[in-house]
Amino acid sequence: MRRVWATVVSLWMVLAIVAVLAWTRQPPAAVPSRPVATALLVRGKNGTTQRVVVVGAATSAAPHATTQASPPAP
Amino acid sequence: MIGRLHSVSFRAMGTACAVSVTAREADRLLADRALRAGSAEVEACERALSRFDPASDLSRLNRASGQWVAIDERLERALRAALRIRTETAGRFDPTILPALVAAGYDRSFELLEERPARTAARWRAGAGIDLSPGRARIERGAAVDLGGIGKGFAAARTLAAMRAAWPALPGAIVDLGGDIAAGGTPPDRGPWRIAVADPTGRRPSLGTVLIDEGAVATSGRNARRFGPGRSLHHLIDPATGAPASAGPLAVTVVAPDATNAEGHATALAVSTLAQARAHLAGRPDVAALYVEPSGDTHAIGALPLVGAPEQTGAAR
Repeated sequence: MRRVWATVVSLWMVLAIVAVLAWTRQPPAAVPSRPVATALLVRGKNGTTQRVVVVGAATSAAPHATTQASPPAP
Repeated sequence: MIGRLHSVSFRAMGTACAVSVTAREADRLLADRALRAGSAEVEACERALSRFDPASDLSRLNRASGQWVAIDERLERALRAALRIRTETAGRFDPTILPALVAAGYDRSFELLEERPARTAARWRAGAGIDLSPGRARIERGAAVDLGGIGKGFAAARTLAAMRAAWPALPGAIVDLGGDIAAGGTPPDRGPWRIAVADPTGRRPSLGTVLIDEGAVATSGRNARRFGPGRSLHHLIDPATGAPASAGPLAVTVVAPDATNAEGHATALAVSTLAQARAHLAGRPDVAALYVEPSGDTHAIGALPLVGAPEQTGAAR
């Protein structure tokens, strides 16, 4: 009986150590991106306006396209 | 969500191109029709506007300088836009730059360029005459036209229109011709179109993201398409001197309602100092720019707000 209890206690101790290690080695929380988006209205040819916003580099969503000085064809 | 983005990629105008439409699976056939119309328009623009294709309308016009030549409607419209932008930019964009460009060594398609020292055109004079009448054009004797400074933007705008004509109820579309982008309608996630601005210094993938509901973004710079000994030459000719520009940004990104204007003004700002760029855009509330100096310092000019990215060190106007 003593051996059974010793096994149970040691199992719990191992689980506790694993839990402590997992807690202390958590990845650092992501730094929230600054609220950098600023809207502007660009006047269109026919008098309509369009929304243009530039935000900092850290946007959560992937871009639909990338503008760059056109590279030669691959 | 509105379905997904249906895309087709191909090579044209000397660069990588992609056209995309927002569509549900049920509208797959309509999406394919719009994509085919878009790719066909890019190819038609290249056939009309390329100076590297001896059979193009532009090549025929250049060979017949001093004479009236019948031309495709695309070339006529592109030349009208080029003349307008030359006036708006006080000559910092000039479609008659070709003799200087050839003298600098950019005399064939980029992939075929050889290493040789740069020269300046022997008798360079900016602002050569271009006469237009419906379906015809004539360039001043001895002059020659290059539309590299607006061609892809012009084609992007035409392509977006062609896709909408092929599918009038098109929910949204985006055209990317080597980084010159026209977008309209909505992407599948219903937000604005997100256009990343590549960092020309290469220090990080992106300087930030431009969000547009309808409009265009174009970038011009000397960080791409370098050639000659040790890649020491670039293709941005300053019309004031006829030589590769010594002053100006590493790259400049322009946001405008229309892709032709976006690329034309980006070309002009690419040979402008920061002060010249600010002065030029002071009278253009519809055009905004992100100007990246060779040091990497970045300035928002015009209505484009200065936000976020740590490299953005200049002051907004």
